[in-house]
Amino acid sequence: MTEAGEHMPEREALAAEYVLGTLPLAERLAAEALIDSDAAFAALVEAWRDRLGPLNAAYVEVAPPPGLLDRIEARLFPQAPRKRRFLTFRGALGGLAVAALAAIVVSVTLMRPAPITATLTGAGQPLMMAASYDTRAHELTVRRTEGPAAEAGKDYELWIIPAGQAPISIGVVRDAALSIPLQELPEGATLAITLETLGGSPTGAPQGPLLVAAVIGDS
Amino acid sequence: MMPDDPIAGLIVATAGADRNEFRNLYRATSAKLFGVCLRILKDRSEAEDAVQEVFTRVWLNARRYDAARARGMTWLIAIARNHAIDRLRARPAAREGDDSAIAEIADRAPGPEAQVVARGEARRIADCFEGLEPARAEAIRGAYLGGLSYEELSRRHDVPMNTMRSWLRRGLMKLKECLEA
Repeated sequence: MTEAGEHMPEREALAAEYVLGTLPLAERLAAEALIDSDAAFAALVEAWRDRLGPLNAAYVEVAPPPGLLDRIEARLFPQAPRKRRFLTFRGALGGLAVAALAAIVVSVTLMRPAPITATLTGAGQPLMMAASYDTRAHELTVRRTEGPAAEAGKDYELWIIPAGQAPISIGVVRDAALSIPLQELPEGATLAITLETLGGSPTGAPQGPLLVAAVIGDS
Repeated sequence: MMPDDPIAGLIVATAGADRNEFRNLYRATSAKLFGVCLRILKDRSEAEDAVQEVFTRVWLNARRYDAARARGMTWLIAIARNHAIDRLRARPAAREGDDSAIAEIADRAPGPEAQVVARGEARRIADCFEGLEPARAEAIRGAYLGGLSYEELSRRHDVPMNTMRSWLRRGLMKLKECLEA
């Protein structure tokens, strides 16, 4: 597996180039997917992070603008308004395909301390996802229960959209259930799945079409 | 590990959903992470968005942090670099290189940076960089710190992309050998 003259196995080279940052987007996303699915590759990446990490000392500190922490906190810890849930829900989705929302079926039960559960569905969508939030372990689990896997080169990306806020990426949902630590799942928040490029939207904001969604709330 | 790594302690406290400790973590690390995003993105407003996204990911993923495997700041910078480089690579092709003149000056100036790198635990890698051909060392440093792509590096060094790629691979291999010697 050694490329002529490189003296570096192809996988090791990919790990090194990923950490170095030189790869084009498609290869970067493929490497990121590999980190999640292949522990040996993840270890190679980690070893390269350790090797190149001392270069971090050369990054110069620059004070961010004073309001940035407020913006981050407003996004992470919104005050979810109870009564105006559907108004804020529409506002929250902003750039996503709002037309699809009218037909969204919401099925939510909220009992403490039982887990919060929701079914993510969409108009004319064969795809369905089941979400369950363990309020004690602070863990959100989402799995595909109906419909096909994402087409080759694509991923289903899960977003949480606190009422009135921009979507926050949670991760991509593949064949296995996605389980992820989440500090809270506020009432009025929306869980949504969009179709994104492999590894998820590189910008941190949804770019692909909205497929299925559900609003968290007491039914 | 945590007694001599207060940042790691703040990340672990953040994982426990402690908003005050999250604020302390932001205060202790946001200038460094903003510096990382700014260096890579070279656009203040986009760097602000990137830092916002980085701290959002830190809040949501703090439980994945393992203090036994990485120092706190190293873990945070990896998240910031990944996100900033993903953003950079996702930009439309036309925007790439529109600021290359400024970037070139910033990435080629060896002075203060080389001195900073020569400090503490960074000394070893600085010594190993010394063993590389200067142009290759500069390409590796520019790629890592500034997020330069193969296209940009090959343009700057005026060599074909494949040549640049094997330069970097050989340079990285040599670095690895040197660091493990």
